[in-house]
Amino acid sequence: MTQDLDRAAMAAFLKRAAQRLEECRTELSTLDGEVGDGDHGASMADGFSAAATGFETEGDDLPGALRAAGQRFLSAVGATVGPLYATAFIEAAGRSGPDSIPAPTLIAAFDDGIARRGNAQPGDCTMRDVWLPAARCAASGSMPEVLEAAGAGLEATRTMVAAKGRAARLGSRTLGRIDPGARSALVILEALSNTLGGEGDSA
Amino acid sequence: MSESRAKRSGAPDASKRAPLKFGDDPLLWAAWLYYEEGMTQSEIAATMGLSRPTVITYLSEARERGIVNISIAVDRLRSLSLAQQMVDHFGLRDCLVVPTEGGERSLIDRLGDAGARTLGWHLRPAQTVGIAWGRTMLAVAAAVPPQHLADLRVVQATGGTTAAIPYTPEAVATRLSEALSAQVVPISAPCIVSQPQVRDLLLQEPVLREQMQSLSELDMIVLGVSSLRPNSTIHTSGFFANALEQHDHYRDAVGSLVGRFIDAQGTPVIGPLDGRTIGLPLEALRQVRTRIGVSGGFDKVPALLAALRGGYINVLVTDADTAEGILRADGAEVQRQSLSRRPPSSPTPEPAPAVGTPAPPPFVKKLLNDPRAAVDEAMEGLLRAHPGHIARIDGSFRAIRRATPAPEGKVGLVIGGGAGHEPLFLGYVGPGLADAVAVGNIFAAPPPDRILACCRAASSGAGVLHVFGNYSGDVMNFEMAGELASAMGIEVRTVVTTDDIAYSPASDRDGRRGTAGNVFIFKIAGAACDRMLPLEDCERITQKANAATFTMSVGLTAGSLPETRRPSFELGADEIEIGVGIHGEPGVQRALMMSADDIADRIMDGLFSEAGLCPGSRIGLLVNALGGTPMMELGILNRRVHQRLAARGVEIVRTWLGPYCTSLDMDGASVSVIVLDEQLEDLLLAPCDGFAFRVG
Repeated sequence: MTQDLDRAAMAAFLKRAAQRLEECRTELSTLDGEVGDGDHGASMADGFSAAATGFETEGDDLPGALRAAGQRFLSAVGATVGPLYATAFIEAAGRSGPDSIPAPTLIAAFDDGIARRGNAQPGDCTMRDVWLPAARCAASGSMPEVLEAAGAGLEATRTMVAAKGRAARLGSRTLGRIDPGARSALVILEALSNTLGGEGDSA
Repeated sequence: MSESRAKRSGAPDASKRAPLKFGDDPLLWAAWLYYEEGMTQSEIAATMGLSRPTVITYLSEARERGIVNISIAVDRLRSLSLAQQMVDHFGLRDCLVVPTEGGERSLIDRLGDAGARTLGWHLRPAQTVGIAWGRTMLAVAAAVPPQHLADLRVVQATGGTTAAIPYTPEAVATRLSEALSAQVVPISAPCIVSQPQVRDLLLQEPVLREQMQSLSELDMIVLGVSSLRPNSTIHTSGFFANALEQHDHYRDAVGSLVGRFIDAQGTPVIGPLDGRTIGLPLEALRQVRTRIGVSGGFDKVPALLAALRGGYINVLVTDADTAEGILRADGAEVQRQSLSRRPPSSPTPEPAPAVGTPAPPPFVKKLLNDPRAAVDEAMEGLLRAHPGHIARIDGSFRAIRRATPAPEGKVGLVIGGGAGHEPLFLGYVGPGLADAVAVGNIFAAPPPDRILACCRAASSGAGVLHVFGNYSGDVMNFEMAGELASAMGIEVRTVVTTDDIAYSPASDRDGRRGTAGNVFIFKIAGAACDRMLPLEDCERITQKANAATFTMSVGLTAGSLPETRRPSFELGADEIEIGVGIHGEPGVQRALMMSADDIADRIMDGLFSEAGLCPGSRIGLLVNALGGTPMMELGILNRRVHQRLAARGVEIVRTWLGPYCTSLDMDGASVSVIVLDEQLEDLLLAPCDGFAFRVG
């Protein structure tokens, strides 16, 4: 996968991700309510919406706009996902060229940023169980392969006992459920894939 | 037995049909078939030659006469039905499920016992049995009673490991062979050698060739399954040294058996270790007729599921929670043994099976305009209600400070967290309490810039103390805000509250969550700051208050969020959740509804053991409503709480009773105690004035 995202493509991706997360708002909050506190849908939808706005209206170059996106996300929602995705955006800003960033670099930066801030290990039943396989696959694979790896990671969270966050208190009762953070990570990757594949290519 | 039956003349006719082992007691017989064998009332009627109403009467009487102990019966039944589901779902030859909780013996010992029994059922003379290594395997070998089947052979399934562990392949195989009076065939080579060439050379040695030949003739194998999670013993056993971390090849592996690796689907993961491993290959494992896997504990679920998917196990010995987890993880509908399926009252005729899917629960009615504006509108209303106590910072509804100015040179106290817990946190702002509070979205931490605004408002040169509940979101956001404040020259210290005893064992105190006990900790911190103590002292005293505070809660109904307006989890009509937190989330354990006194006893037993309450202890007591529970019921609960404390000889300095820390509309209550020394008591009773908490 060698596709690069320039500022316009990044803006389109963030907008699409915000829109898809808004559509998934209730689904994500319901998933989260079963294992945690139920704020995930609202936090992700509002956070990405703020990030998309920040990206479009601030920053002199692509790294600056990515930093603004992270800052806006954080200020808008706080929560658990705020610091995690803000760090992801800031990590991406650090690795971005002035005008574009390769998609595999973006995905890897997101995974690394989230890992750095949240300290979750693979298998802890978190969003990293989607971001990590996606980042690994993106290094050499195509976008459909990345989505496949991410989807397998999401499914695998059913077999995991949560080690982080409020779900951790449930012990074995999280088994059989997908992790809401992993689910929203896949929604974001799908939005990225659709953006790179062009408007009509959502299959 | 027939003698004893003859002795009793008054037995009903039906007792003649009961088998000898149940003596002459048809009630015991009926109860056994119902609870232990899981038969329906109709099947029991047919078996015993009775009418169904008679069976129902018998079952009812069996319970009244104490023949039936519900808790044990339900647990065993659950194990039976789970084992059957495992057999059906994975096409196993046999499955044995032991209860997860079981007395004083460890799970590994009980699994070892069950594994040994299973081994005994399948073992025939002249068979060749392989056995792997590990703690559970040693427990199996140790539990096998001496027996004398002729011409048995026990073969070590892999080469040897470091002798630093007591459960090496050699030790396990030797132990088993002794118990079975069998010949033992070791594998006289390391399991993992340094290079493939070494392995190839070794395999040419006649001694090892002969041993490997025995390994290819197995009729049966007993093996464990290892998780590859970071805390798994596989990493500390020295078995693979650092090989796993060093090789990216194994990143897809979720489990290990007989020294080999498999991915989530059970496909072998081939890496550089493969050519260096001496032992039973996975393909050969699958050819063994009886493959008994013995493994339990829910960290093993991904690994066990992979082993089952790959067909490496066809007889499974595990525990109930793990079995249920495996089934659910594989998408099977687990027939959950509802706690209320066998009500404590008399058995009722079985209902007709439900048709179609159940309707979604109705929307919960709430006083709302736009759910997304709920927090801002609520804060605005509360600010208007209490202008003498709280005020906005820079026009924000979510960064709130005390209305009256704090004395110069006082350490600032900033608290905060998600909305939905009102009157927490803003009700604890004012003289002798917090100086500012950062409010997040519902059940979501406030962002760093808002916390920073509070920190700056609270700072008057003596530093600022941040106190908040131990949740990952709050920790991250407060941490980021602290860094920003430091960069601006404000010294910040942090105390994270961890009073919820249900969350984790006492050894993991730092991992626990902050719940209603927050109220005491905020009060003590506020009083310390109000005494104009330096920042280090305020921090130390607040830490002490946290260490002295313990909370346990019970939920009666699930809470519902304004955005979804549906209960966030399903709770049966007569079920309750023990150990709920303050986010409408499920608790740590589900139980049958019980009386207020029983609930109080359950909570107080937990608090007594955790808080070390003894005659002469002095405490502050908080009996808190989680949102939906009325004062009247808190009174009923508090009555028993006081009885228990009085019986223990504990002195209650003061009781607070009401909604102090809520979880939206959740029905339920929590009890918090703070164990006081002279200093904490002095600070707890010092004057303060927040709109939800006033002393003096």
